[in-house]
Amino acid sequence: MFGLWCSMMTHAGIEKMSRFWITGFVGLCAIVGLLAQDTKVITGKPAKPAATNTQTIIVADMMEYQQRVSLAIYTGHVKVDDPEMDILCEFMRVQFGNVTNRPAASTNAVSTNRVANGNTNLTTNTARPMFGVGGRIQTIHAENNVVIYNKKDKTRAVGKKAVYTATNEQIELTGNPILYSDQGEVRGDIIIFDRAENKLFVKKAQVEINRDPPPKSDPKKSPKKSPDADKANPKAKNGSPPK
Amino acid sequence: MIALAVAAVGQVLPGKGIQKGIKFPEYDRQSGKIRSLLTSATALQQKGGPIQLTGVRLETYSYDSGQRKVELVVETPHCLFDVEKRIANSPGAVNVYRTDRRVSLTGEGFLWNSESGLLIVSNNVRTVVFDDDARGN
Repeated sequence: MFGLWCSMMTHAGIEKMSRFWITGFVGLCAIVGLLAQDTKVITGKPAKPAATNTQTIIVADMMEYQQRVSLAIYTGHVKVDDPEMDILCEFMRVQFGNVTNRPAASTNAVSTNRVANGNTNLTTNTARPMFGVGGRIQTIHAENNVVIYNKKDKTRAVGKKAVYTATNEQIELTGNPILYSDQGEVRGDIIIFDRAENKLFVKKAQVEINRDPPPKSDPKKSPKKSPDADKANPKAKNGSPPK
Repeated sequence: MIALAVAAVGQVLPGKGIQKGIKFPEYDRQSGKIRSLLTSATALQQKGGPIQLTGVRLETYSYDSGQRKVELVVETPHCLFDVEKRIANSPGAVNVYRTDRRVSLTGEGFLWNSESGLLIVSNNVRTVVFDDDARGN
């Protein structure tokens, strides 16, 4: 994953990323979690079944369904409320396929992921099909002010256009895409999330890390800080790594 | 095809008042198989205009190994149906669902073109997609 990530980045991105890797892999792991779907880590104990809703709700001003080509087009204040994520946009095109043609990528696959502590864990990917309709959906095009909010890890991605392709279980975000999390922001030309492999790829990535809060100083030696001082500069972006 | 269309039109005659149990089938021109069926509890032919229908149910069909199955069901309390253009529309509430109940949709105002297979729901669209696995499929 590290190699793929670096190969897709510019020198500036690499420079920033190197700092990022030094300051901690944990932050990236949290960001990578965007849109992650039900990845179970095998640790010897049976995984707790996730409490999930069983339906996805799509609301919009208008919907056009072209039955001959199995195409649904939602326009105006489109909101997708899925158990795993919310999607907001102004235009969404959903191309349906044959019920029996469930994409191979959504079946159980086994891959290895290296985690922050250096251990290699086997993970079984059980990413459910988008909107849980048994692989009927082939592609989803979301356009205009696209916001994807991951309910699981509270991360948020924005961009002008997002495309989900069922055959490879990838979500591609373009048009000044930005990925927000508590740990920072990731910007790039294209942000691709691979649901099957639970990986994130960013072309020409620029990573901004939220600096850790400064250590508390001795109140006897320093003047008392006013509460407004924290509000003035709540987060320091793109700062140097903590010493 | 023409004969069937004429037969459907023939069921609703102007000046005959409200008629009951009307059916408007739509057939595929190549295969001759039925593509959709519009049924209504009552029908009233308006002068020089569309037919006013109440208690409307539209079924669209697909074929799997020659076996016909209902694909979509569209229900609405009332709508207007243009027999020549084969278009039904209504400003009222509409309920659309698949017979396997995987997907259901509600909204206000719709247009159905039975020739092209185009369904437009024009306001307050709410689609509910149920999880396959949760339904044991």
